[in-house]
Amino acid sequence: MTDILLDLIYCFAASLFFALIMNTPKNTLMHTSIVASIGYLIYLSCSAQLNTTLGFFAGTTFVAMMGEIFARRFKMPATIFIFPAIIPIVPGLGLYETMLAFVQNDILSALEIGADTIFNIVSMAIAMALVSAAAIKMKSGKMN
Amino acid sequence: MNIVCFNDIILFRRKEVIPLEVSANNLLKVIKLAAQIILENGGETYRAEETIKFIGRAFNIKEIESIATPTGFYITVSSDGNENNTLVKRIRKRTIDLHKINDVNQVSRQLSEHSITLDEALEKLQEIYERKESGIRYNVLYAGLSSAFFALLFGGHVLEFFTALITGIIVSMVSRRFENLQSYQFFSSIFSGLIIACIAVFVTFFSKMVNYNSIIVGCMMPLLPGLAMTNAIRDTIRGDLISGIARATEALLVASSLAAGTGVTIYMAYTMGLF
Repeated sequence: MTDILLDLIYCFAASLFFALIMNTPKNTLMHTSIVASIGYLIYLSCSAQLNTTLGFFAGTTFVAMMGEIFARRFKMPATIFIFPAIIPIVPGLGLYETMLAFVQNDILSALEIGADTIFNIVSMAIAMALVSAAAIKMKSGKMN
Repeated sequence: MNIVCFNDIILFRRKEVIPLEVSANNLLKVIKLAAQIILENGGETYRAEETIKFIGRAFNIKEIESIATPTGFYITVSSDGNENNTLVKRIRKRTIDLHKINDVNQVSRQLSEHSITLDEALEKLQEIYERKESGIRYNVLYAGLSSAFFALLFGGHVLEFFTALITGIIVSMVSRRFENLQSYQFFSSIFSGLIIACIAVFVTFFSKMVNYNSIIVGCMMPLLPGLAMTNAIRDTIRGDLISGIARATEALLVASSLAAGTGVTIYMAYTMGLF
């Protein structure tokens, strides 16, 4: 339990500083960071209980949905909210482990981890595309 | 002297002919600057196209058509249906600055509500375009802190935290130098990867108690092409296939050059038997 709490705090801080690098508008910083840590929590719990790929899917869906909702509310582009919040979920570890396995001449496990990482990235893409398509459908010609 | 006067009269007449209080030239200037800021600071291409169409519609322009890609855009404006004004703009430098995108969005909103005039909008956009990043020193520190907290998230402890902090600061300073080079992001990513892996391997070699995996992953996370990936998807599902492919290529290029830089260093460390 304390591990998860600590992870959430780390995730919050990491995405806060990441948002600051990307010069996010100041009044949205807290929102993006909180969405990022909740999205990461969903990703963690889903991948621990059910399936890793499903975890990526669920976390991304949450982040993208909150991004669209905040975009309506603040009348700002949705990218401002989605981009800093999605960063903790991006499978950087999988990418790194794939490369590490290649370097260690362990081609089989490299391919295995690599295929897994690609599936995770694709599931994130599908989640983002679904939410985005739903948002376009609901927006009906208005620009955010 | 006469010629100048004559010119003035012609300009005056042309203004009268157009059934608006704005000249097509001025409008084109505003639209160009808005689209340019959006594309140079990491906005989606459909946002640039939509902003162009939005502003044009607000001023009762008869025909306005635009094609935007991450590397440039073309606009054609025809205020009366007979005379066409076309503009081509190449986008060379691309960075990420979400604040500028938001500000341009607000200006286009205000323009469409007619709460500001075209000249005020041009002034505002010029100010946004020329605005420098506030506090590069702080940005470098933020990059370090972000890397450090990612290192903690991926199983690091106190020593990894401080190593990642310093590595993040160095990488951010070095990649800022490489931004001016013509090679788009390639050298910057590959050298970032090299520096990250070098520092992580050396610290591990000398202290024996540091987990280099968490340092490397933590420092790689802020450099991963998250925005390119997000925009690639958002562009593709809108039907902007060329932009989608271009963004996906960008994401692939950055990720693979980052992995190549890190991988080569770790491979050398392995073959030299450092661990």
